[in-house]
Amino acid sequence: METQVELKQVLGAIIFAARQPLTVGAMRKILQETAQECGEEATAFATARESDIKEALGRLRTECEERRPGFDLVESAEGFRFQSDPSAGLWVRHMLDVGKPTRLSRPALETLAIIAYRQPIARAEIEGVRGVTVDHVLRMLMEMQLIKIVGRSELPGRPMLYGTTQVFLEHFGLKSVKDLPGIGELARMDAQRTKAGAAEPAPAAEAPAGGAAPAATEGGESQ
Amino acid sequence: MSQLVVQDDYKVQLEIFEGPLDLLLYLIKRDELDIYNIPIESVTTQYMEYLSVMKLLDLNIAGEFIVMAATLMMIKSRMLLPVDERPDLEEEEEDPRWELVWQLIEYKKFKEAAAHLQQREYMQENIFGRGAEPQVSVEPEPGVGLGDVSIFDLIAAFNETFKRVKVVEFGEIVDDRYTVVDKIEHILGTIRERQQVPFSRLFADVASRYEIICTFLALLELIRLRQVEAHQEGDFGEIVIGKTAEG
Repeated sequence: METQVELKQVLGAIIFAARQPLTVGAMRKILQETAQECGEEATAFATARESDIKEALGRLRTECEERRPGFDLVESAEGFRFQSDPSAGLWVRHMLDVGKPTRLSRPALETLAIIAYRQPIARAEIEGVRGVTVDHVLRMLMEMQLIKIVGRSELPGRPMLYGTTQVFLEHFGLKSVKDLPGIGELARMDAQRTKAGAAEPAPAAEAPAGGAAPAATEGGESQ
Repeated sequence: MSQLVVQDDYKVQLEIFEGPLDLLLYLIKRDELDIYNIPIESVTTQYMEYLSVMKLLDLNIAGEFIVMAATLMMIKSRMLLPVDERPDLEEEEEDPRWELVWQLIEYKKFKEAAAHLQQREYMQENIFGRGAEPQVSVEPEPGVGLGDVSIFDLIAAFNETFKRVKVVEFGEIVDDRYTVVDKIEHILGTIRERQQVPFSRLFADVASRYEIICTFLALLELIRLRQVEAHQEGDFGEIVIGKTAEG
């Protein structure tokens, strides 16, 4: 242990040994606390900034990508963790005895996609897009904790608004809803629609996951 | 053909989660139509044909299907009129199809987004990490056994079989009739023997239209109960019925 230990190694080790994903902030705290408690060589990384940590993690990740040791360093919604290589899924599944994966049906995925891209969103608007009632699917997605009620609309009847959950991000391996592909495009279509339908100046099409209860269902979504 | 009352003995409760927009997109894709220039006349005819088959099978048809039928009819009739003779409707575009086209395009985008989510889901189910949360426990979902096959593929396959069989229906007496329950057992038996059966094989030796309907309803029920799964080779290819993991 005489050779100089690198930040990259320390980080790799604590992520490996951790029972759950670690955020960059949590890692920095660990480095500082260890330095205070143990002094000596542990002080080496006491002053590491978040950018240093991110940079070291980046190198670690690249090394995993190049060497393909059967696991990758991945940042999920909760932080960094090592996870198994998906191409070895069959064997890992067998070892863990997790059985056949359960998969969502297409109607469920479509409903989920609409919620993910347009949240917060009321049921009527989801139905406007899909052209069918979605009570059953919504109930099921709620039970699976993939969606939750995030507020109430200002529209008459104050309908409930739905949004996606942490479980949703985990299930699809997403870091954040912003990582969904084409999120800008689907929002833009909505804005165009508002312009064409309601002849009002379209609000900036950004931030689909923004504050509660924009009057999102105005633009003539009914059939 | 619509007076055939079939489900006296056994009401199949397959809920259809696909709606009229799914059916329209299905027709557009199948016939490689230009979504911006939908031939309303022929699409309406085909739409109505699917609807009548679904009625014949006494499936739970959502009210939205009927509303869409009315919409298609209205668009069709407006298309027939010269532009300046169309009664003014509020906020209508020049092309009566535009509202519908816009809705279809938007929905299609979300279908693509859903397909992307599905890819991520398939990938994610093979990834395990330290401190991994137990994966989402998914209740067996109704309709899941449809795999990559849409209900409209099944209905199309059914309709084809149904039309092909020329049967002397009138002379028959309502006695030696099959029931959906019999057919469920028959299908299960066949699948147990062969693991996989092409859709058409299930109907190879049916004698009457009534029997076709019973067989088809039995199949839908088995799919709902997740005893069998439907797969399709490529888009609009042959449908194959096989065992599920738990079946």
